[in-house]
Amino acid sequence: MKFQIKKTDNQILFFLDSKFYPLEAIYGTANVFLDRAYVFLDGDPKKKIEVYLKGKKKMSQAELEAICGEFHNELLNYLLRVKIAKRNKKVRELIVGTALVSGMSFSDFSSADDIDGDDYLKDPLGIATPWEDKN
Amino acid sequence: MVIKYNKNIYKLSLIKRAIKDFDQLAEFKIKNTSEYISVDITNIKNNLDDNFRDEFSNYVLSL
Repeated sequence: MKFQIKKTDNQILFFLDSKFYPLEAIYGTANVFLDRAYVFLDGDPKKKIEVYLKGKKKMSQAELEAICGEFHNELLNYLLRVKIAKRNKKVRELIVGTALVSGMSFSDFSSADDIDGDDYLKDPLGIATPWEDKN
Repeated sequence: MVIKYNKNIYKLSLIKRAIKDFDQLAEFKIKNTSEYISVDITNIKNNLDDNFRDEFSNYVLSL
């Protein structure tokens, strides 16, 4: 892992290859670190992204290296979550759909008029007549 | 102070939104070039100079 530390600025700079780390994942990961560090991004999203992490509190060289490592870990974590979310999308939709439908009452599917009215007694297709009576 | 945001990474609309939210705290001028969006920040109020630039950039990322 290549990085540059500017101790006077309390800052570490490292590079991320866009082939492995899409910009969306970098945005997501950066958001996790906003409370602990100042994050600034630069570079070419098609090639390499430059990530500048500047500690909000004074950090030693070891701490700056550690936060850089944590950023990489979180990035992998984020990528895995996106991958699993894509893979489980249909199952999640099915579970939510089932939960919503099971939470609905019968009256949600048909209006009160349909139940209370006499529409079901009209039988325009003659399906209510038993086969024996027809023949 | 001037902050140069890479156009391929930072969206102009989000920078403008951040400026709108921070406009009570400083004066902002945007300059749009081919590669970068330059934000010139002046008259920072309430002695917030120290980390203003970094806080502003963090805020843009959070949007």
